[in-house]
Amino acid sequence: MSLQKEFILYLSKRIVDQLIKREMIETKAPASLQERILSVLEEEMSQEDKVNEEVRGILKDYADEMRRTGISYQEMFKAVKNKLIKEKKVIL
Amino acid sequence: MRLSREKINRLSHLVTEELVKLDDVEFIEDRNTIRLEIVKIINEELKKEEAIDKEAKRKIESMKKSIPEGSLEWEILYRKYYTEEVKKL
Repeated sequence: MSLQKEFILYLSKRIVDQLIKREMIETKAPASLQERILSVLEEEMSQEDKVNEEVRGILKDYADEMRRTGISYQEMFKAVKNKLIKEKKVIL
Repeated sequence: MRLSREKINRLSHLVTEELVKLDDVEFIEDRNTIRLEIVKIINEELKKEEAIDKEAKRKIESMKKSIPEGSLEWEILYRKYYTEEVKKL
């Protein structure tokens, strides 16, 4: 995650507070709205972490082959990650 | 910038879509105006986040003991100082 959890929590609150203050929306349940926004932000911000985890899982199966061919873990990680990002259409 | 323009746009769309789903949210402005305002809010707040990140790193660097960035100790301290700075907002 490129942003820390504490900041994402703060950001969710700011989005709701500011949209109300700037007279963009009205709501009788700002706290509940903030939770929903937080959930959306956390889900989207964790996409890269999920891809990284998937890449690590994939590379575990290729450890022997990488050793045999001399390809570095970093190179393989980058190549597989780029492939997954394209396939899953993840925006970083 | 910690988030790409594309990512900020994506977040603005996702948040707007969530607002549309909710019955207890009333739109005063049109959907796209709200979305663009969300982009603006995120950009404003990210400037503060950059300052927080900078300050947390500065605190670690000012310590007598040299702590390599990326080490576990560095991560723990970064998280601690970062959280302190966010609380000040």
